[in-house]
Amino acid sequence: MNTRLAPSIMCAGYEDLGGTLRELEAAGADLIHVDVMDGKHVPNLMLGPDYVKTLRRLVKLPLDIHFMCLEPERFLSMFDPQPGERVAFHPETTRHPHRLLKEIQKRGCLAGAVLGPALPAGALEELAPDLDFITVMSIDTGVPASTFLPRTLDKIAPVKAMGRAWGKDIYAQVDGSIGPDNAAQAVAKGADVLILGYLGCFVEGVGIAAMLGRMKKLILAYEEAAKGAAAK
Amino acid sequence: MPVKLMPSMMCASYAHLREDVRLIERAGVDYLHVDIMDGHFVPNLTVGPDYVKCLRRLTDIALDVHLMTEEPDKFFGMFGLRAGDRMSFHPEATCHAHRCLGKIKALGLGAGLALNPGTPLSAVEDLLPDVDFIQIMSVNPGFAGQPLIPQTLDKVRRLAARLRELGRAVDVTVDGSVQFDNLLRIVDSGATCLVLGPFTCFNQELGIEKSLARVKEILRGREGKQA
Repeated sequence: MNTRLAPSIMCAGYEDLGGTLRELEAAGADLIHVDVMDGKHVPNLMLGPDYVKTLRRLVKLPLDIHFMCLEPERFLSMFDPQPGERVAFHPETTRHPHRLLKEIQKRGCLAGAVLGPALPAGALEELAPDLDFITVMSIDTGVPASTFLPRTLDKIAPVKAMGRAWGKDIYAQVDGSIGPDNAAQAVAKGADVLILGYLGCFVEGVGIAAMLGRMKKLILAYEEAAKGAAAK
Repeated sequence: MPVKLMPSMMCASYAHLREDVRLIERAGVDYLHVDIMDGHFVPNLTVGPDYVKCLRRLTDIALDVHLMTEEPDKFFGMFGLRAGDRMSFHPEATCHAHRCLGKIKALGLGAGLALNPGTPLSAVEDLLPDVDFIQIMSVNPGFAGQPLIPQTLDKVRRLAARLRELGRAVDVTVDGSVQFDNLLRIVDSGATCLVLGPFTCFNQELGIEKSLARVKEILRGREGKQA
């Protein structure tokens, strides 16, 4: 399977994080997505540096840190991202998005920009040559499990094209209300990584292993069909 | 009145929160203290409403939520608290501290002020008739494990005296660097409630049960002497 799956750990609850992470690892998650909220860029507050340190101690999977904060540059040293981790921020939250991309990369991390539903692909025109990835929000930022916005997926292709024009292979993540109903649609529009929350991984009454298994099966089926169609 | 004890949950383990809460319940404490930070008012970020709601599900121990955020009143209603729980904010973080106290009370919660080490008591003199408790920060807020700032205990002494003058029997909490060897000094200054962090609750060497037992033993010794 080419598409990678990144469970969003904010949806895992706090009771038994160690146990949940073991389940995610065993179920074949590729990345752990970590939402950092400051109560300013988004209404909610969550997941600070100590929590992230615990994740690093408990899990070998790379972390995908998503800053939903104003002035994310101040949060970078606070979280001290480690080589191999992914770090993304909303470009409109900082005066100097290009500088921040380079700061992230200096740490040996992959640097990404997040496109909220209102931010057009064009906002990344000048950043594209230095972007490792984008995260397209497919819901209103910071409102988990809210209405899926299919049109946001149309921003993936133009950003990838901007990267290619500079010889840069930008990969795309989709974040927000992704589940069995829209996973294939996101992959068809160019998603390389699906971030999974309450609809795609942590589903009440369904175990993590069962849900991730179901998602993988359906994405694999789509990928095979697409390959077959391309061969014809 | 026995001194109240509040483990600071930011020092609990994120890996096995449920277990830590069980150990604390078994030892017996008065509140769980939850630090909420926004990365702006203080240079750290911790947890938010989801975490507090999780604690509410895990235990019946009353919660003491300490907001270290700018514009604290944006968050008051988000934590799913209930009667018996209480909430404090920093008057330094808002232009409308008096209104904020009222908003917390309107939710049926105890309303408190938390004061930074640099904030004088005169800054909150006019709020004293309306507070349910006051928390004196004995370190600069944001991180556990810092050394105690000595003049903050003098502030505790002056606050306790002023509250007596006003005939107000409200809790005076000390938050920051409460240790086995300064605990009595803090209580003698006038603290009625202690936040217990990495030294006196989540002590790596002793573990939660023995740490809390030791705190209680020290406090019993003092009560014995007073009697």
